[in-house]
Amino acid sequence: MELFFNQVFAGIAVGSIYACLALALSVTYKSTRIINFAQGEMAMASTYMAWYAMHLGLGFWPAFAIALVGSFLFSSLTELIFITPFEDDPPLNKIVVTIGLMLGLNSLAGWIFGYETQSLEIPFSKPFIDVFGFALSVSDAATFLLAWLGIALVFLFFRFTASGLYMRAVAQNPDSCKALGIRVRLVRAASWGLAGTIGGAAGIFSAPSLFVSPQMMRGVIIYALAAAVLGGLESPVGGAICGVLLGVLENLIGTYVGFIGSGLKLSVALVVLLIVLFFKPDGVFGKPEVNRV
Amino acid sequence: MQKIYIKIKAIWRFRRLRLPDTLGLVVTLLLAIFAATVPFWARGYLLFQLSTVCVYAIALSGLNLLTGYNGQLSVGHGAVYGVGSFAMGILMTQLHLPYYFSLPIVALISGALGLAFGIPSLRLENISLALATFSLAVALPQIFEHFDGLTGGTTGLEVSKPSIPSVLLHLGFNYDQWIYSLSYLILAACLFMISNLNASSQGRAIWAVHDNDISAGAMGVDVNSTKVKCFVLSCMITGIAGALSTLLLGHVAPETFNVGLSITFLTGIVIGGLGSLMGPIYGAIFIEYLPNYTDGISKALTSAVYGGVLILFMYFDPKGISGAIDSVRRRSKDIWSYLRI
Repeated sequence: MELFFNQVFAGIAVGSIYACLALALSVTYKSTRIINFAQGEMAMASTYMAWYAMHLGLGFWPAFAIALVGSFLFSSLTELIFITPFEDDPPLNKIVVTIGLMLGLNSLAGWIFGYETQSLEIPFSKPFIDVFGFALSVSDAATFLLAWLGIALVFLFFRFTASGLYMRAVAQNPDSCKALGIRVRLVRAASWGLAGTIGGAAGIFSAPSLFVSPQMMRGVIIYALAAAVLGGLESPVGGAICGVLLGVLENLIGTYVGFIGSGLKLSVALVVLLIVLFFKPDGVFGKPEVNRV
Repeated sequence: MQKIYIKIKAIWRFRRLRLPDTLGLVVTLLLAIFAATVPFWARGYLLFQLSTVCVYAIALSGLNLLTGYNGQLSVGHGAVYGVGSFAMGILMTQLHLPYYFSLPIVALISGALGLAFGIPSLRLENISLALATFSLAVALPQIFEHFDGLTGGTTGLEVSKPSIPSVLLHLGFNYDQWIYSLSYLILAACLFMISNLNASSQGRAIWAVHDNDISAGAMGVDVNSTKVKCFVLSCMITGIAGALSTLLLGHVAPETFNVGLSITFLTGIVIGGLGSLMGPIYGAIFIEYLPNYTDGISKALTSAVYGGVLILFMYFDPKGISGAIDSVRRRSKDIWSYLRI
């Protein structure tokens, strides 16, 4: 029983990281109609920002703040430089561009920081705390809390602020927004910046368990993509919930189904993705899209 | 005699077979003949590279059929290539089938994979399909490693090279020359088939689905069956390319078929020219020769160049090298007709 709960807690912690990235993906999708394959690599870049700041001798929290601001600027600039020129292109071209970004960022990080893994410690006094008689790792709990705090903030931002309203409006109908005087280009860049910040936070939280290297996000981004699609790309909260569910499922199946073990974990995500999409192609929480000719 | 002369003259006039057209045809034919003579003069590493170009070109033309012609983005064709490769290895080492029986079976197996993936993908729009195929590409090496009884685990399979047909042996062919010729013939057959398909009603249907599937459906095109057929055919072609790579290398290992390969294929077809017949060949040459130059400088440089080139091509020339050649040809045609007047 204790093993079960430990696995569930660990799954929730890992799942919260997936949830953050899935949220980032669906924010990007909502604002620019692009699935950003480079989201994982952008999170990796933010993690390197934090790592470098700590390397220079800053504490964890200042480094964290710098990395978040840095990733906001970085992601907005990326959108302005690399995505805006392809605004009117078919979706296929846009996806290819983000794949190009993914390759470029990955090798850039490898070139600047090298391919060795670095470690980044989140400072907490005790490694484990006692919750209802179960040992719960503090970094897991902190990951969970911070991730869901972030998700709640983003939700509130979208729901209750003017900028959030602009972003939702621009996602729905950019032409009318232009006519109403909303600066569509700026709003889109800001949405990307927001997504980059959320993803960057996920990257930094995952750093203690995954370590910092150019490849750190390769496995995570698959689960995040799966979660985002499962939850319905249109629905940020759905993606976040599916992220947590996937994390728990992954851990439980890896522990209890001996045939699968740790070797076939990624295939579990693939199979779940295919089965769910077969029955609900718009995701569990998504609404079917209406096409007009 | 006189009649024939008049006829030729009439064709010349009415078909407007201008010099640039004829020149293009002649150049293409000469290049094809030149490529057919490769086994007679190329040796060693050069022959191996050119064979790889042929194999990649087959794989890319499979991807091109799906992504270029039908507009379904696949980021997982490296996985299909891997399945073809492993199917060939397993059939030849575990079941001891000769290669000429194995090749059609590999085509069937990869076609079945295409069917298994094509039917769920009917319900996915472009973006979700890209994700599903991407996750297939990520998961596949692990699946291969997991079933190590069949696939030999992380080390993979050693496939002993089959003996070549005795007729060719008498003509003095060795194994490498034979495998090049085989790949060349299969590539030619694929391109011939795709160009015929493109000119047929099915090909028009494929393009109609690419351009706008809703209006294609309204015109009476069976959108679903077109998409699935395209998926199956595309996977068959790419699977055969994988099988050929097993014959060429004599070795298959799971790690070869990682996401990187799928992305390399995608890069190749984007650079070669999505939706053009000859695009796969240009793309294959690019992805075979570029790493030779860049790997010597830095391992990271290859993917950096791929990334940069993808973005630049999408910005300046979304139709790839093939599109650029076409536009040069069109422009030269204009100049030619201007000069003739």
